[in-house]
Amino acid sequence: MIHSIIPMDVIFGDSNATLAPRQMMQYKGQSVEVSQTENGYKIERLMSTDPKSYLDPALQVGCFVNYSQKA
Amino acid sequence: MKSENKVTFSVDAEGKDKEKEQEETIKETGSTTVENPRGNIHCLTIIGQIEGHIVLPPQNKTTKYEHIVPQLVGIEENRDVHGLLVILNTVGGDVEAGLAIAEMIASMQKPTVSLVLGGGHSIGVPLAVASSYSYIAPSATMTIHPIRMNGLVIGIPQTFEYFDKMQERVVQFVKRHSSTTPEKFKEMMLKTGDMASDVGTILFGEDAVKCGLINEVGGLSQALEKIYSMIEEGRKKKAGEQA
Repeated sequence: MIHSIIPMDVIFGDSNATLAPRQMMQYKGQSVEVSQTENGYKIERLMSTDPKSYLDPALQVGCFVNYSQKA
Repeated sequence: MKSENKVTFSVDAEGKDKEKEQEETIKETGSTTVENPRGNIHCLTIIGQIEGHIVLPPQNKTTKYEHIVPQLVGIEENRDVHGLLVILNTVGGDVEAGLAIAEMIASMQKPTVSLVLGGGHSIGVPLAVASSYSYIAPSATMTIHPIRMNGLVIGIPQTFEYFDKMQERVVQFVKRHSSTTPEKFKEMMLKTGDMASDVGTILFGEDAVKCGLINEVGGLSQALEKIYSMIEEGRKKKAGEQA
């Protein structure tokens, strides 16, 4: 249920746009959902039970996977 | 890929050097450099739409609750973080996700201060009042309006009842965490004349303080000063308990 000042048709206007395909991988000991871009794998979502990992700058959404640190 | 590796190694080497330096300082002087002697604060920015159970199309700027909620757990757990500053500029979004984040902020033990800049509309209102102390910029606005829907409705009385209950969750949360009354808040929600094609109220910075939603009109320096003074108070209290 959306409670917003933006009209629903503006929020969902371009709902035909396709999201980039995503895949799961292990990175720095955590499960991350990534999408493939020209510059490498971009983190889209972090799935972890360790609250500390959500404060790790390298695991933030939008960061690129650094291969040297891949677990 | 090779160049990426090189960058990482140099960063790692620098990090290790810094660690060594810190170790040496501890050995020599028995202390280490704290980033800020008044306390470290974590700044959380909540912008655009609050994204909940449905992934919103890419033209929306969103704040995703599945990232914010565990991040708040991390902040509460981390010994190096002493306070939380929430910066809001949101147009609203998912009711349940917004309330989930608001409840998390409200139940934190660490000092929390929120600052509304630009706008804190719809579900941004409970987010703004959730912290221990709230500020609003003089030019910022907050829109208070009812939860609504469009499209085909089947079972009108039931749908009305359901929407009323969802709205009541927002009203009750605002009542618990601000000095405004549910009657006044509902009155603002249903006011006519403020918005062209809708009911509701648009509150400017000072109006939000006058009606008891927000604690004070202010900006960044006031918000930072408040959070540092709250950290200091907490430290004094702890020292008093130990003595």
